[in-house]
Amino acid sequence: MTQTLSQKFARVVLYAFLLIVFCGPFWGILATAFNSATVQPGKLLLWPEEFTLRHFSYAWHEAKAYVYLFNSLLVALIGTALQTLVSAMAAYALARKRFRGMAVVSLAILSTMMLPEEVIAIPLYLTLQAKIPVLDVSLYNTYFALILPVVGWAFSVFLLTEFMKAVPQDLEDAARVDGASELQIFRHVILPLVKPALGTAAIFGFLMIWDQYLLPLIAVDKRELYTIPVVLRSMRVDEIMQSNIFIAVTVIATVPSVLVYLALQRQFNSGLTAGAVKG
Amino acid sequence: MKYCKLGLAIATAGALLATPVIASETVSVWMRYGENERPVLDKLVAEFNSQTGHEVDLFLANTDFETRLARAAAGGNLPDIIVNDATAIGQLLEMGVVREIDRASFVGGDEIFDVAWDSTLGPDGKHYGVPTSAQAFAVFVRKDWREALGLEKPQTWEELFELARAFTEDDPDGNGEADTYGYVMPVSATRGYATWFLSDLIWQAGGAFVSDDGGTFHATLNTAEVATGVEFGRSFICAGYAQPAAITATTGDTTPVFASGQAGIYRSGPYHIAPLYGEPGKDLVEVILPPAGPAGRDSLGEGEAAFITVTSEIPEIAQSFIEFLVSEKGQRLGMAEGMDSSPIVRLSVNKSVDTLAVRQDEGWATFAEQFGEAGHYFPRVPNWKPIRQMTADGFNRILADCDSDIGAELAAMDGIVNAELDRQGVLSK
Amino acid sequence: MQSKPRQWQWAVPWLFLAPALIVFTWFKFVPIAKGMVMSLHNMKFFGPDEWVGLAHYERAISDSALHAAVGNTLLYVIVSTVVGGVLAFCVALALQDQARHVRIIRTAIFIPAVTSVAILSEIWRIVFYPAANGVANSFIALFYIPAQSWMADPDQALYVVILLQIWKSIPYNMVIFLAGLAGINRELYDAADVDGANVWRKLWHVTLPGLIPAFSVVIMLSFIRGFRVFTEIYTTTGGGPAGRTEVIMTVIFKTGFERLDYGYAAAVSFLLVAFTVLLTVLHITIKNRISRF
Repeated sequence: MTQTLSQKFARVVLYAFLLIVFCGPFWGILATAFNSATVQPGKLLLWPEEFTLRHFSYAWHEAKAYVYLFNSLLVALIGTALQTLVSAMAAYALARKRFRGMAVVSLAILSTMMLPEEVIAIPLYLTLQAKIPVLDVSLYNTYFALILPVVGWAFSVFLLTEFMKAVPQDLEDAARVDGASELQIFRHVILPLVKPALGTAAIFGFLMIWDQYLLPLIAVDKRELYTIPVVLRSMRVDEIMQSNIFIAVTVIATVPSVLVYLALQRQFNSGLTAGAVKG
Repeated sequence: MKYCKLGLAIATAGALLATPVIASETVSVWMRYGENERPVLDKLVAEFNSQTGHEVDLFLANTDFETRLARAAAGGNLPDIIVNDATAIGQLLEMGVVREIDRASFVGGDEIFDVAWDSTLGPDGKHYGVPTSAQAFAVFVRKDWREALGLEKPQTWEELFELARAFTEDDPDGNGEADTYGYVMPVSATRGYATWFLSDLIWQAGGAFVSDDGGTFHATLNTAEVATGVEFGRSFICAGYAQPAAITATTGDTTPVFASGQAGIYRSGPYHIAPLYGEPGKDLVEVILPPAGPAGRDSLGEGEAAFITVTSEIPEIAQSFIEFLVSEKGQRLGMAEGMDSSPIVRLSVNKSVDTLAVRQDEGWATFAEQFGEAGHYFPRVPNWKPIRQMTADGFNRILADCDSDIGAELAAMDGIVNAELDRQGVLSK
Repeated sequence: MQSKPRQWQWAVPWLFLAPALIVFTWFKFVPIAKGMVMSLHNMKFFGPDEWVGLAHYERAISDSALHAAVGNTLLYVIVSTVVGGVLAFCVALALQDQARHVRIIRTAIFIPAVTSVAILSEIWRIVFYPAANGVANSFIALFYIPAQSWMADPDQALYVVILLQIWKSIPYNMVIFLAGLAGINRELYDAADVDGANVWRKLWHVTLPGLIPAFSVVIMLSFIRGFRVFTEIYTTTGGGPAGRTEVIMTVIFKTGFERLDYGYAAAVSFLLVAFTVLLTVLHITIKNRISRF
């Protein structure tokens, strides 16, 4: 596509503007994390005045960021995988099938998204404390307590349902005529066609689980099981610890999210190119 | 004969072995502290263990403490002991989770300051907790700035205002830029900070939040004295001598303001001595008594207290741990004597502990002096917390608008506070 | 490969739904039911809860602090949805090119979406610092606009917080729009070209209709998130100054959860849910009408 010089210039300006608006502040935060002295509130550094790694060192060693990072990673990776799978299966039923009770199930699942989580904090706590029959153990203070409750996420179901609905019926019918089973249709016909949505749901699911604050707060009270958001909040109100350390922990906490996003986004981008080629 | 002695020896040995050893119990304790205080607490627990043989299972949380407690209460998982702000007693009593403490039979009870014991009184005149730490608020000042501008330590409100003005307008750090401010003020409505901060000024002006009519209370915010105090606080913000964004600032925001050298006057507690000596630096910081207003230099006195829960199955052993905490040995350990750790005891509640001898610092001496002579606790209504929040909302409204009608707003606050006092069942008729 | 015998066909959707239903029931529906029960009681921490029936709901309806908060919340939701949605759509259009440098920019601007709200609030406080040398004030100084108080100003605070929501949601929504744009059949564009359509007509007749699911998702999400907003406001303005940024959730937090008045908090929350459910049903109905047409 040929563009006039002024069009090109406009594009460059637009890109620069977007980068500054969306990425600029984070550069400043990064500079603060590497800065030795506490930065004056309101001041956004472009470059550390006195470069140091000690905030990161403190965050990693003394503040034990690596423990919480590990917990967050474990919970978010496993949780996302389970969540995307469970949501895809549910979306398949809601998008491609007609059955009695469909509207009720839909609305029930959707309405869970509208509920502020704090309301069910106490009941959920009691549920996690309760002993499971037969096994006679409770989920409390286990990784299960951190993972299982987030496997069900209405947004994921909702997103995948919308996109699965758009798959043309003929493709499915053709496969059925060929004698494919439900599971095969699900795996080989529908899923590949909603790859962008799957990638999107996975990214958002990971971020949601990564950011969870209330659930880890009520699910565990052993420090070794804490996830990053819980620790971050504790550091935010800590008036004795230097604030740069808090920033350093946040930077450490952001790295995995960014990496996961980069990884999933490549797959999601390939979905975009697939669409272009297909046309 | 030999066999008799042997037999006796065996029998005695058998009797001794058969005597049940007193079982070592584990006391579960929840404390509203964070990891900064962990080294001191570990030492305390170890010392208690070596003295009594009992274990302590410690849980620390410096956020969401009350909501965690509520969940634990709902689930029947309360600990034996809770260590929290003394002002939490109201909420704990409303929840019904704390046990009465018999002051007379409390070992070492008479060594604790009376004013500290007062902070754990319930509305029925009985004690429901034991004070473990105390503090009063004073003022940190940038000594280098003050001396660079040739000013004396402020001792009155007028001098304080002048100091704040000078810090804002006269370039105290000499860098040629107008980037410094005077008085750091956390007056957000969140968690009642506005009230927590303005209380000093209100009392220094001779005002009071409520009047104690002997067991019942009524709100006394709409008075000239309270208005004077609030107006004085507002004057800093409206003149530009407070830090920007004060109206939404909490203490998490204000400490970096002082530490980074953006402002030069900070009202805070002794727990900030160590970090502020670190940054901006020990030679740059001094602690002064709060400058006096029309009615004196009262400032907020607060403390921590230990409570025993009604669900505890080992209340006597739990009490023995608390007795250890307030004993001279426990208090000195709690003050992090000889250790580089955040203390859990700021000023000792135990009369026999010489705070100055333990701390050996002028700054601490100033705080001790302020507590002893002009520490002023919050009113002892059944539950202070909701009133703190409501008044903070009101103060925040006044401070947000330089032209607001203080009298009208205070009158409205009186109404709201009286409604709450009524709900708590202590409104004077 | 045989498909299931006819008589078991009815079970198929339920089997696919099963894992989701188990998780939802165990960790959401049951606690929600318990929460509803809680909203009809005064929670007592010892002994049985005290039944109060609809007292909490009545109190919620007459609570004036709540009314003001509802107004703020509505404004928050509507502005952030409309402005955020439109801007995200424009950004998606501008960045849907497959060129390598565009992909990099797309990836880069997603940073606000992967960052915790804690840091985003810090950033907002820094950028909108009320002093003359604050980032935002320095920027508007270029246009000779005097320094503003932003979140310290009772009249401006809510809009600044709404701007945070918009800023944060643009990359998020952009991704959804991009996924939607990818799904539009290129042949439709080719056919439009053959018909001699210009850019705007292609937009109106091909792009927008193809993006209906994407718009639907974006609007729904924005509404649902908007009504539930809490952390962004609590960590920046705390509901101030002077209560001008109080939203439903901050009020619930202050008068309910912080006061351990869980019954009341639950009641207000369920009123919020009911309202949002109503809106959702409305939205779905409207959407279906538009699709059909």
